[in-house]
Amino acid sequence: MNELEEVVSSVDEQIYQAIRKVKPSLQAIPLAAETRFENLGLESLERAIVVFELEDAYGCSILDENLDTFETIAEAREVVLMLLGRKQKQAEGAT
Amino acid sequence: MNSNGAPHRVVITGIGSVSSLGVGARPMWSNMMDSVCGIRPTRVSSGGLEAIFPAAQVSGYDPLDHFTADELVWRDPYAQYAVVAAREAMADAGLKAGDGDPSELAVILGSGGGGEHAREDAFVRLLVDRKLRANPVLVPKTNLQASVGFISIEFGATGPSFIVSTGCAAATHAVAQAFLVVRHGHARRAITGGSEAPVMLSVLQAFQAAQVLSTTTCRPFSRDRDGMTLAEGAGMVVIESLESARERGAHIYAELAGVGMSADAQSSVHPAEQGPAQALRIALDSAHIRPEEVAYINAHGTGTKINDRVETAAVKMAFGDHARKLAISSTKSMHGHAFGGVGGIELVATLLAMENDVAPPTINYLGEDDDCDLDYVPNEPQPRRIETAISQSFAFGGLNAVVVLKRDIEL
Repeated sequence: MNELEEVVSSVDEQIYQAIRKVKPSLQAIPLAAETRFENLGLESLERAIVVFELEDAYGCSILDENLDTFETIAEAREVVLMLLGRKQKQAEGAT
Repeated sequence: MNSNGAPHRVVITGIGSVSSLGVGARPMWSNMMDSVCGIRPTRVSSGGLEAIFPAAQVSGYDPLDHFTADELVWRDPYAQYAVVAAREAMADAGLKAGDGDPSELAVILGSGGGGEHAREDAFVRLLVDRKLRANPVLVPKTNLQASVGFISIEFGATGPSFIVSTGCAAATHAVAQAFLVVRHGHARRAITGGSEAPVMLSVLQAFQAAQVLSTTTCRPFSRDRDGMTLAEGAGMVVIESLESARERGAHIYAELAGVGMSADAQSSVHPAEQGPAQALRIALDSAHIRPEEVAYINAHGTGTKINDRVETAAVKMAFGDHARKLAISSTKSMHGHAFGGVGGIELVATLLAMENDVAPPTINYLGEDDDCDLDYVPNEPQPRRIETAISQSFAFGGLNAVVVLKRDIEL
């Protein structure tokens, strides 16, 4: 597994954890990149908690930039990766 | 109005409780009969700070015995206790979700603080850890009426449903409101009582700063008493019109014969005897009961110097010479002070006192105090015939609520 694959896998795992923290009963259900949020039976506020948990985990803001419109776990991963990339660039710029 | 055009008589047909004396009304009563104290040195920590206070946490309680992990994401302890006690009360009344017309079932509860645990966690997150965003579940978890919502959903109750928040008197005020709702025909039945879960660092420190917390234990009406002890728990009853109870052949614990409410209009913190005495007189009048008929009072009895002195004076003012013949106990000495829930717990204790003809004790009692010279049922339960009893609660702000219970419904 190369570095990018490791990051992708780690972000996916973090998203799974966030979903299962909001709805522990989903522990028993396999989650995958293509899993659609609408198929998980999450209410709108539960979805907002998933976003909150991801913001907490990565120290980034998804909501302020209206980036919480993702429909699948893969799309959520892309949002997180984009924000992580931006954060890294800002850190490099600062040094 | 009933078929005669008179207001409905209201009876109690189910009881439930969660407290430091156990999960369930009967375990609580059994511990009361053994003079068990649920108050213990309790370690609380938050935001990197830690302290030990005497307090009464719920014993023998595992949330996962009562709720799914998904449900617990949304339910702070105060709401969990409310639901558990309501389930017990409904089962005890022989009722389940869907029984009867849903619009005829009300849910009227008391709580002083709502989801205090979630609120303290949020304080730490936002003000100590300096995170920018609060958990989206914070509002649904902390709002005071969450307990009412969960119970109305669980039992499909679509009748009048609301929370009453008058601090230490909230559950008794809630029962008084539920009584009025059923008495005047806005619902045939109600789940009523209250719950609270305030045993945490911020709340304990607030009450310590107000100089009302005991550093030892709760010893109401006793010499050397030094304050109240905070507790968690819930007490619930099912009330219904007498016609409703008779139609379905329900077991009737007692008639909720009358209620009295008043305000001292004196001080935001210090109680005055006129207010509670007024509430007592109104309650007796509304129940058409003479003071001499009352055998037992489950007192507010917080264990603070001033409450117990003023409460004693109020009872003397309302009952005259009969005050000396009353058995008066504070069961807070055993289950602690669960603020907006404690009136429910004490109502359940009062009903079981009537059922068993035993006054539960005021434990930790060391001896008579100059200001408190009535019969407080010291340390041991006291068998006596209890046909008529009172449960009373008084809150900061001088807000008072009293309920009168009568066992013989034929009278």
